Amino acid sequence: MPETVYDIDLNGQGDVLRVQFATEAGAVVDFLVQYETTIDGQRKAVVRYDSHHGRGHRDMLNWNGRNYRKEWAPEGAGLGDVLTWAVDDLAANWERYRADFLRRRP
Amino acid sequence: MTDNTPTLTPTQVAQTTKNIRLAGRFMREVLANPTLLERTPDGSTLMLLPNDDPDLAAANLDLATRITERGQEVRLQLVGAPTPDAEQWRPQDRRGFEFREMRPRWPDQPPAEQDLRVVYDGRRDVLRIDLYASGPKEIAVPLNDPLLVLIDLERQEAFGYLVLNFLAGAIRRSPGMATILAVADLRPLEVDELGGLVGPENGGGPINAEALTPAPSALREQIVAAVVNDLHRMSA
Repeated sequence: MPETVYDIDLNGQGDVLRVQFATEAGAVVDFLVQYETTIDGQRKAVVRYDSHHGRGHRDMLNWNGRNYRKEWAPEGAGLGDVLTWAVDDLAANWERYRADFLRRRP
Repeated sequence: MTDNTPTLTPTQVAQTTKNIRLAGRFMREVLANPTLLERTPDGSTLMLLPNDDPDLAAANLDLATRITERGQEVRLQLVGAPTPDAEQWRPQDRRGFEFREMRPRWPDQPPAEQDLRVVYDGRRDVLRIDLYASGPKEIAVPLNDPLLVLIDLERQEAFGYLVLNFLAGAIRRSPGMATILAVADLRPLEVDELGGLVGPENGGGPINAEALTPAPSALREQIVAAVVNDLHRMSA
């Protein structure tokens, strides 16, 4: 399944959205949105929204990149609904997610 | 342990939140029209420019400029631009383009005679002077009306000039430049010789350029040198 990845610069300070699209027969079938911040010159993924596995979900990530908490999008949500859910959640909470991530620093 | 995580200003926090929402709009455009993926190279870093928020667009453009000044590559991507009504125009609809800083300079060595090329396109009334050899990728950057400098994109070096409205405007400001026609190759310029510009098809000069007789080769360098001096003066 062909995949395309872009980094969207959010503020020039190392905060980036990594977005990934998977296509099949010319249609987008899955996407992934990952909010990343830069710490000591290294990009670190903070939270990831993923439409894979047939149901959208959010993964809160640890310092080592592993998922430590998963939350599911409403059942039966299509790609567009999952995208709305993800963007609304991230726009409202990214500062808190970033601060929490920094507090989890080993 | 030191923490070098940048502290964001309130303005940067607001810009980040707006850009997250803008990214959502961009992704929605991709879902609706996956051909956008074919037109935007995989692995690109994007700076999004909203069509309907001039303040955010200006702030993001400013950011893109600073990113390129640091030597990083960024691609500008329009979001929310209306789709052309006419079906046949849609393939030409450009939403994204590379954004890079250019600091072109003239080569250190003087021009070599074998690289010198002068072409006058009477139909477009455009004069092109190549002082140095150029690579396959070039662009014409406006210096002032009617002068453009030709830049070799790979070497980031200037290599010549394009003069628009040559007979209709330029030689009125500097009549001595008319002598260049005596050494010019009189023919239509190809589209790729126009540095990304396509001039009017019928902007034509008032003379029949094809009827001019080329000057003897002994005079060629002298004439070109005089005109190039005029052009350098105009570009200053």
